[in-house]
Amino acid sequence: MRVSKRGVLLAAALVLALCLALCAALLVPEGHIVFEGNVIDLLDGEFPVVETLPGGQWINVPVFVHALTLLWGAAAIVWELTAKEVKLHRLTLVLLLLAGTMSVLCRPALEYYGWDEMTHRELVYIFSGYDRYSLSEYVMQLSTWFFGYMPYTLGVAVSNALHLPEAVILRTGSMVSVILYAVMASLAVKHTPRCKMTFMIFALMPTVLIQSSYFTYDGTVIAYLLLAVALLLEEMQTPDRRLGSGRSLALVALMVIGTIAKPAYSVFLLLLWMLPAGKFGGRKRQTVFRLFVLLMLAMCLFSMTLGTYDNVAHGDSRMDGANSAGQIAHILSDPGGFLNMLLTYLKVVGLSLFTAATASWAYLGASGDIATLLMWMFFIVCPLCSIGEQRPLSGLTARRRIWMGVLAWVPVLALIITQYIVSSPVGESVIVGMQPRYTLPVMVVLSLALAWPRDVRAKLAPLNRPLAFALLACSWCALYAFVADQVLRLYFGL
Amino acid sequence: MGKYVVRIALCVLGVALVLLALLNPLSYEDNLEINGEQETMPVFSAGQVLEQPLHVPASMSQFSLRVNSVKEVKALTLDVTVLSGGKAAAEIEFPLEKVRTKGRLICDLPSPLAAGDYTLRVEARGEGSVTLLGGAESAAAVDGGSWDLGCYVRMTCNVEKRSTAAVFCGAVLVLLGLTPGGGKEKKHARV
Repeated sequence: MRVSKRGVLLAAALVLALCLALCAALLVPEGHIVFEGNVIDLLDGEFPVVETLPGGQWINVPVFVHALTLLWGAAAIVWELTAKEVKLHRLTLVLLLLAGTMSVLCRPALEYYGWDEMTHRELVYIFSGYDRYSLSEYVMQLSTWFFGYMPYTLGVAVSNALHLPEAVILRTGSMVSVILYAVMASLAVKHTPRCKMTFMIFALMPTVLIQSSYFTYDGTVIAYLLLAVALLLEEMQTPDRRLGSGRSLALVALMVIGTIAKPAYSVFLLLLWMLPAGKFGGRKRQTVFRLFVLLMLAMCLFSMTLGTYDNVAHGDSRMDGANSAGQIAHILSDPGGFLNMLLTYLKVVGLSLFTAATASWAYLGASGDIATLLMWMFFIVCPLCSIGEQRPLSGLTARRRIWMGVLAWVPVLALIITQYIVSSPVGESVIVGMQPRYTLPVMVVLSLALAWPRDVRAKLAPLNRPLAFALLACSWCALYAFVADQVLRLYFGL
Repeated sequence: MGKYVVRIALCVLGVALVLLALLNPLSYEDNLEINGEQETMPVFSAGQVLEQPLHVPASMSQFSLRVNSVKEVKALTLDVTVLSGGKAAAEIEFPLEKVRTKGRLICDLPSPLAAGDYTLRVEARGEGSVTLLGGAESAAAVDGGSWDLGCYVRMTCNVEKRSTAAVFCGAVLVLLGLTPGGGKEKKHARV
């Protein structure tokens, strides 16, 4: 394997940045738990500022390293985009590792943001064996959510076995997740034959990266789906080459293991139905494959009945007046009214769900202007840039785009309806509980469905580099605005 | 062989997980709800017979009666029977005179009762009356509290549970290992 001088230098700079970040982490207070899942406190604006580094120091090392990694990232963007052959996947890996490391290491490890993260941490502790259980007790507590927590579980289990302090254990869990996410996203950018910039900008979205660096299975779901969609596009690029044994396993496994923790997104397994007949040795093989995909989808959906959602199935106890049975009866008593309310919700809130998803999570987030910019940039400008693409993709026909568009909306609609049933007070005229981040896993598929035609992209090809530079500069700034917001403002009081 | 390593590993892992779940059931003691949602049952006097349905969710190998302060009902004896189709599947005689202030009488059944629906029959003879407490949670309340209501019946069963979710996860892994591919490439004639 030929390794370029540029790649070696980039890797060296990355390692240096990570080492500095690690040193900086030693100076970050571990923090402590100042509230226990009291979301109301957060809504009232009482953010858990735990400790501010003493003022009057001539240099604040974590903040200094933070600024340094921002500059390193910017330098990497310029460096990579001025190379003869642009390798976006390499740049993706570097940027995600830089920002992800800062997000994990430069904040107090013991803090958490309310009920959700507290629940995730508890489950990771159980799955990783941090809490001592007998074998039968451990097996009894296993659930399909385990797949979503695998990177965190691995990190926590290893560092726990080494008897490291709790703050280090938590940071290790998050770091393994960030590394997995960066690798998966980088592979997705590498493998997708088209819309590399779409994949890359999505991977760099603040909310997506932040979710990977906190304890939640959402980051894992997104990482696996991203790679699965990229591999699928790659396969569709060569319609006459048979679907290999390894590739078919990778496609199905990424979709199943990636989404079984959140089965609403398992419907993306049906994307595999787009694989053309030429990928299979005959119609019979294609039918068998499609039936198998259906079986796996059924398994994923069935997993919801195994107890993981029992505590919210009858109505989310965190919401006053929520009662699933009562809400279903209410819907059935006036289906027309419900449909009308749903359409109004989609009309009024639909677009803002995608906007808020890009840069807002768990009461953290950069300004709404940045989020709006990111959303439009992602859906409109990104698909115009064809940098790094070898040849135009022939597989995305109008029919397949419609199929992708429909499949992208199914999870969103399913989640909106579910939130109305489970979380909204009975008879409520608005839908409560639908979080913008739920739209993140569908965004790439939706963007591909809406992508500009090949001709338009081809005409803009000469502008690829300036366009890519502008997109990455905006994206990197937005990502840092978000990371800086949570690190500098929340924890260091700047 | 090399390209099947991952598939084999997935299948082995899946089967191991299924076996682990099946061979390692979680055993624990659970109290049965014998009086619907109601904790306090009616005052129960000598000569009265109480019959009510009893749902046993898992194999039951013993049941018990627990008494809390029975100073005034020493002359009372409770006959507790679990009926299945009109026949006694298990029975226990519980003379309260044997009990001091507090006590619990555990009866091991000759053979475990299978999970299913039964009828619980309690008959009082002798003199006096007690208030039976029947809620599944009432036992804990009485154990830790200052209840002085007399006597309560607590049906306890030994539950053996196997993790359905773990079996399911194992099955998913096995199925993934069996993912069908697209078939072999056509061999082109050599020129």
